[in-house]
Amino acid sequence: MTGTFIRRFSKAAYEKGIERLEFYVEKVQQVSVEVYQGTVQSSQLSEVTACLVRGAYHGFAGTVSVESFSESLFEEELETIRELAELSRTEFVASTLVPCQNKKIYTLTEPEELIRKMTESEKKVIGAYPKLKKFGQLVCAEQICTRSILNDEGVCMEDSSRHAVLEVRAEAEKNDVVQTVGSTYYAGEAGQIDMEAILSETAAETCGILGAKPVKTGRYPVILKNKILCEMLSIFTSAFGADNVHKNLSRLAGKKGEQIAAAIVNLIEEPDLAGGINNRTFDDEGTATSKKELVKDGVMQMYLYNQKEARKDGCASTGNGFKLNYKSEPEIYVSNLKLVGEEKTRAELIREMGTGLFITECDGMFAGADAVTGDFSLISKGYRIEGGEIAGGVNQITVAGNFFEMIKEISGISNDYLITGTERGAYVAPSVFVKQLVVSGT
Amino acid sequence: MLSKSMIEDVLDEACLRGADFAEVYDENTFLQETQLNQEEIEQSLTGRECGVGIRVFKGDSCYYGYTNEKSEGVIQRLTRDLTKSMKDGSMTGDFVKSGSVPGNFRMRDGLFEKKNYTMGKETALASAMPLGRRLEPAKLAIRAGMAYDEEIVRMRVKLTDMEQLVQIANTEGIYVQDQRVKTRLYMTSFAQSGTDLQSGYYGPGAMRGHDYYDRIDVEAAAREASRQAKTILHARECQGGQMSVVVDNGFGGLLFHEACGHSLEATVIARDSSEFCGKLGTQVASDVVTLVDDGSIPNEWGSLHVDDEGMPTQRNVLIEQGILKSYLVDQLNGQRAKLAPTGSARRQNYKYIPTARMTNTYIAPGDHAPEEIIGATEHGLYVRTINGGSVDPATGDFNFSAGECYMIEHGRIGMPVRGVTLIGNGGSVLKKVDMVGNDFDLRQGYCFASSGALFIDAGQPTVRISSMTVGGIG
Repeated sequence: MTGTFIRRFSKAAYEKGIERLEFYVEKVQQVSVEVYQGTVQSSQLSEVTACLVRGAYHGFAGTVSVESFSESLFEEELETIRELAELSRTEFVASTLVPCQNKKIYTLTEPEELIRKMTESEKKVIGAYPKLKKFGQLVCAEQICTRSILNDEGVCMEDSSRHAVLEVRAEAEKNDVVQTVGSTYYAGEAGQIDMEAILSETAAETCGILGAKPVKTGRYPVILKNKILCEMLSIFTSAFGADNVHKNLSRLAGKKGEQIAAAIVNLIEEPDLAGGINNRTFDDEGTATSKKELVKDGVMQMYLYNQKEARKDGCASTGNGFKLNYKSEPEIYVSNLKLVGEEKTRAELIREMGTGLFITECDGMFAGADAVTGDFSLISKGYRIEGGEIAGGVNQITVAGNFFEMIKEISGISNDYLITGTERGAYVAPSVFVKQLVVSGT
Repeated sequence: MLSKSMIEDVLDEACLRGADFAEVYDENTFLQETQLNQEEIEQSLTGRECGVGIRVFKGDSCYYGYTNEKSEGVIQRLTRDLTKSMKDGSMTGDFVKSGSVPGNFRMRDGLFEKKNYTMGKETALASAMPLGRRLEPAKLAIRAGMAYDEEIVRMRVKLTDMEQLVQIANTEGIYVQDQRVKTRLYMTSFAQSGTDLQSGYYGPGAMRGHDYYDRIDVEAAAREASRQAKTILHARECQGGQMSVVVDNGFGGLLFHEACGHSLEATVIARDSSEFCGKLGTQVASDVVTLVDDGSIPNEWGSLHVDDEGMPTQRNVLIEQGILKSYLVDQLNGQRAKLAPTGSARRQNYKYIPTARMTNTYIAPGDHAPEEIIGATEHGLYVRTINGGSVDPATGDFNFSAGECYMIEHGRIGMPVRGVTLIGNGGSVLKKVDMVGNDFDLRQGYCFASSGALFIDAGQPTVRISSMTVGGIG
């Protein structure tokens, strides 16, 4: 379908004076199943192939997104490209495409197989935890994404990836008070997810937090669980982007070569990570990806570039021109970004802290964390730690601080790595011990 | 758009394969989002979202598929794959809905005559305007926002234009076409002093075309964003703790969107995963609280002519003088919870399964002048703008991040503070609302949940909560 579209669209474009066409084609196939108390809530199947077309009109760049490949829309679509090129007057710079074929043949797991695994795991775990009320959410999805970048000279770069995700929210109840814990696990495919183990861990954590209450307002030593670090990295990594440096929206501007984090902190981007869920051979502009150290022993090593920002600084793109979705312009994101440092067990970290809080959930980060300033203030729950051991649940508190100050105060790093996927890339992080954060409670 | 005959073929196929219910959602949406940084086009995304979603029910289970290839073969194959999953995947054993009649849909019932909902004649469609003219309000906003103060260093304005055309048809005979035109100007102003950079925002929008920008004062809206940014820049870090909280009118209503709106959606009610389950007719809030969700308000940003299941939107009184009156109900969760649909089923586009969501949600006005509410507060926090929030409906625990805030001391508004997060529990906060003002206003925003990002309004007059946990960074 897309081959015919590209030929016909290119022909129509050249007739209108639009040339040097490039097509970013994304095909997404997905299966998703939600199970609730042994029954199928929803089972989804989908396949969508969509495209972003770039072209040059009088030397300026214009784009249009296409989901319907009907010729009846060509006139409107070409007018969109022409109009944007004329108005924005952004010089068209052709992508340097190198023929590349990394498409893998994947097949989606059948929904029936997911339903079977999910209902069996749910039944087993519910039976094992008497205080567990239920799994209020149990969703498993698998996605295959094929990305192609083509130009009207016939050069084609193609890559594909697959990942699966399990989302769980468990509810436990004691004395009419409900507690919940949510978990999200990613893997290369649904078959690699140990559902029973994940449901058990989530159930145990939920039952363990029953009876939680707020602590007094003050400053506390805090261990932040791996999933919180993953989410923070997905927000604050934008400070490494040259786009934000150029716009004066980065706290890391002018910090290259400086100590920006504790000496035990390292940040590494690995586009070919074992167990990675966003492994990419080229970015969404066709630039080859590579392994990079963003922070080594706490010292900032580099900024990240896409083509547009690299041109401004007269340097090469670092292969970080990624799109949020097929329609968007390539901004600056990562493939798989990993926080590594010490390899302590979580229990060692808790013993080292002695007294403090082990925060397992922070919500509302999309609004409560400021990517530019680094400030965050988030509703949180977890456990009180006394004498190096878990001493009871904590909820209805906020944990606040500044990310760029916090990473200087990291005094312990665990080995309990978790990988999470976002539209801004994949992030791998362990739990970390932070000397002090502000807690608001009673 | 799909022909009636193609739609009926799909519904036929689903019924013949044993579905209790089937629905076709056919969409063709013109969408343009252009972001200007200063007056330069930073990003402009224009195109059409076109596709079809097929939904079938078997018992209380839903099978959904979507594709952007609107050919008969692809859609029929998708329908067959869904029904295959339905047969093999059922785990409950008995999925036969009482009263359902298997067999050929067209022979049995057929679709009603098509109802066609359109926008008013005054609607100036963005798709029919040159881009340069469409961007005029954005450029006006940037100039006005920058001119507000020398500490304003940058304006970023995003113009969103959407013209959504949907066809919805189902095996109950519903056959409607709805045209939904929306426009919004989201203005972010950045103020800087030394290395300290803070932002303010304002985002007016409506269910209208570009004629909307002749009806509002764009420059005043941009100055408001800049005023907030400058105020926050000079605010001190807030010290947290328990205190009274006075929330300003307008988008302050997001507090109730989070505190109880999501917990009243049938998605969680049908699963007994809400603190409001089984409480219809009981006192869930103080008697000064009346909460309404109304998707039928003419020309409002959160409005629709019909919901995404084809039912006309309506005014739903959720809480009246503290008594829980209604939930927000979609068809399937209504079936699961034995509740009648309320015209509240929504989805971002054909890639999402519709479910009960909010539209324009607000606290109805009370008796107090806002100055009276501030004057009656000895010590507390005055929240003027809200950034966003979230809730866990099962526990009722909610949070939201506030933008422009001030301390209240001895009945007067004092110094500005920043870095504020408000947290609480929906059920307990509703009972702590002790004063409701008479200065009602509605504002526009987005709500992100399982059926995608939706345009919503949140509104209220000035409201006081006697005690809340205020999270601060100081």
